[in-house]
Amino acid sequence: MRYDFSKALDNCLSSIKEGISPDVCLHQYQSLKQGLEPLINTAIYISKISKIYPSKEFRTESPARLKAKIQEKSYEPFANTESIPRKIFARFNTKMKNVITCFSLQRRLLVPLMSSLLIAIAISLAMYSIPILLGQSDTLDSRCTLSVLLGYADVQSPGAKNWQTGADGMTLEVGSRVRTKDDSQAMLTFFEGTTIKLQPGTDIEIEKVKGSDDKSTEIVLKQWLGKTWSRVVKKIDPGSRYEIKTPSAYALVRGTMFETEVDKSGTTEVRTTEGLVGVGAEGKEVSVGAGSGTSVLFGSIPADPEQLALPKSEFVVTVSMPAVASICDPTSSSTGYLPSGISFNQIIGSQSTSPADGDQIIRIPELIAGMYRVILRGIEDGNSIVIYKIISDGELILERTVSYDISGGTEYFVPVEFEFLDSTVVGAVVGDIGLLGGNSPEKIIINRNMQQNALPIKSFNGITNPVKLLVRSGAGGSVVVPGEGEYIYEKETTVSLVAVADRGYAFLGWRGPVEDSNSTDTSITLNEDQIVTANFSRGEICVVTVLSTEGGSVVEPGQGVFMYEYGTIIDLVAQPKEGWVFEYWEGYVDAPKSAATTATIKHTDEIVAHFGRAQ
Amino acid sequence: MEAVDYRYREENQDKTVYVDVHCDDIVRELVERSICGDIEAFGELYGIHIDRIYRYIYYQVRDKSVSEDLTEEVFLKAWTGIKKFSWKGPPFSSWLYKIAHNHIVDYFRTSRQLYRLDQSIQANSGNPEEEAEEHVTIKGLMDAIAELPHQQQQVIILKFIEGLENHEIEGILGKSRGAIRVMQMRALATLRETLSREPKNEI
Repeated sequence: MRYDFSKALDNCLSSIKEGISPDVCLHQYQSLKQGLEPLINTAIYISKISKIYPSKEFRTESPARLKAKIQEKSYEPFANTESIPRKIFARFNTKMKNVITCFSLQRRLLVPLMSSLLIAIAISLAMYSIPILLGQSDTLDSRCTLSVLLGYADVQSPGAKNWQTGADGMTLEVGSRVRTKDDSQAMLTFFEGTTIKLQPGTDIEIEKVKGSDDKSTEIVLKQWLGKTWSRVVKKIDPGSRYEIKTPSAYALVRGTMFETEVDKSGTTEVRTTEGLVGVGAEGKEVSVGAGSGTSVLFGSIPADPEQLALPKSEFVVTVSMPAVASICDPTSSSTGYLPSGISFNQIIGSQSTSPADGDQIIRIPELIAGMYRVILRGIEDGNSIVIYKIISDGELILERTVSYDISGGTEYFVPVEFEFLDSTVVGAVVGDIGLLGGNSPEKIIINRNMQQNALPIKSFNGITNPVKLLVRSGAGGSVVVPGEGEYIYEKETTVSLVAVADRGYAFLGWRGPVEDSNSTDTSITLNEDQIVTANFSRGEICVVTVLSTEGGSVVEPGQGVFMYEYGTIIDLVAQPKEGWVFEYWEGYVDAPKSAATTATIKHTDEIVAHFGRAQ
Repeated sequence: MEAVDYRYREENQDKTVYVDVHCDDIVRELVERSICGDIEAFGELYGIHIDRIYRYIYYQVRDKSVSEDLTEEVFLKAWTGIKKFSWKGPPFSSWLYKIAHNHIVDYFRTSRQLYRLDQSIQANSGNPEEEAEEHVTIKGLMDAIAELPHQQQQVIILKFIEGLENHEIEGILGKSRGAIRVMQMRALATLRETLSREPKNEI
């Protein structure tokens, strides 16, 4: 009897699936048994292998993200505002059709959707009427800069499916997404100086960054999960906005500092430290002032703002001229000012007044164990009075006033450590002042094309011994701190310098007497007039880490961290130890199963040679 | 929107017994509610099907992050098109697989896909030694499946890993029953050959 082999195989597989023994089926197809048996065994083998499951993290986090994306689709006119009102109305009409269709399916959706739509249209028209009337054009860099403050941050470029490890100083385009790992922190710095700090386990997307030549700016971010701390540069133009969208709400501000937290259920909490934040959802918006907070459950309107509890502990430092101060916490986050006038605020909930306005006051809430460093920078020679206050559970537990003899252009630090008893601060040790010596401990990254609003603090005090500094760059990049141009400083001043390469270029080095000519982030001490130039080379540099597991090593190019120009083809040779065999390469290599292979370097990557014991 | 964890349905049963949650009345009710715009109901459908759709994608894409993103996108597409879903056609799970299939095809068409091994396989046997061994086995199988032509890969994944019936696979891949049978035969023959070369596999 002749059988169709594929049909016989399929019949056997079906009967086995129903619980019939393979032998029964094979007996039926005796003439095909020799060919069928190995294929049936293969099928059974595949069926019995353990299944792969998505990670617990993904299973937990993705429902909120999906929900937010679904909601975003439903509220399309909010998310994709266009620059032509006609388009807004066209979208509005389309959405209205959808609303009417939806109404026939479920009436209860209509009321919240309608009210939200009306607010969205109102916001859109307010935002766009001004630019249209004035005929503005977008001229500033619509990108931002990533700073990895601690650990690792993953970046997904617009339209890309793969995630890559984010590099410190990396430029992010609109549409990029950034995720911090559970033990990591990162910060985004926008062109006008606004920063957002991403706490561990945060997932954020840059939806829109726009600047106009009349200084109106628009920054819109989506926060899927986690906790962020925004410090928004005050915007004078009424058309400017800084907005964070979350799965359940949006937070809209103009110049303030606030914290946004999104949990796995999509609930949003907003806590304002300074200024005013408008928090909206489901057609209702509440204003959250300094010292207040609100929460928004998914699908609900924002709760009425409530006064936040006072911080359990607080460190307040008052500094008088001729010094300018900043404070670094044990995680290396910092808040304060530089003599150049550049301010920064990374410590969540912290505040610093400007030294230009009189005595500088820095407030750091919710103290943690470890050493804090108060950094003092001399503007000129003289005595600076510094008052340290520590408040715990609403009581002043320490107040100490110290007069420091300060030299202009010199950097100092004072270590401060707090004593805890059951998480309550019960005391503090303020150490002796010392010379900082070396690089600035503050992590300050400023986006290229950043508007140079900051004035040197010393300009408020007059310059007695002026020296000129000319800052410039070659093709392929620019100097973003202090910016390119000619500056006048007090003699002996140390000026921070930060260079950023354009896409497709790499930083080569500094020309001029800078502290470290090979580092993009360096400084120069001005004893006389100086010229510094940042030079760049064409070709993106990719950092490749080559590693191996137990049982062997990579002999070509060796193991370690290597830097290659984009597109370089490298040879890879893995060598097993005695008793071991090479198994495979992990990473983007041309032949993952060959011990000797090549790789074309197109991005930062980790290449790992895997070995196994010889059988 | 809480993700409902239905994995126990699979884990508590013998691996050769296939889960058929799409016949459950609960799925039918959730789909009906989703069609009417109930996001919470769709969240429950997501919880029911996330593992299988993720796995289906992962076996082909072999990158954890990409698989996660594509899984979300598949469900987003499903939400967008759920009003078009009809019980007269294939079961809901097959409908989801069909969306996933099309999405993966788009992904491979539009991206310059690079081969990458991923270590993040979640075997979850509980015993580290067993997990390590299982990891090697799964990796070997994935390597072997990856060498198959794309259509044959899908037949193997859908039939022997996901436990779908031939008629469901026909609907997803848009092929005749005879074509599915032939692809199945060729794929098993190739896998037999490939897996036999690996000393760890005793088929």
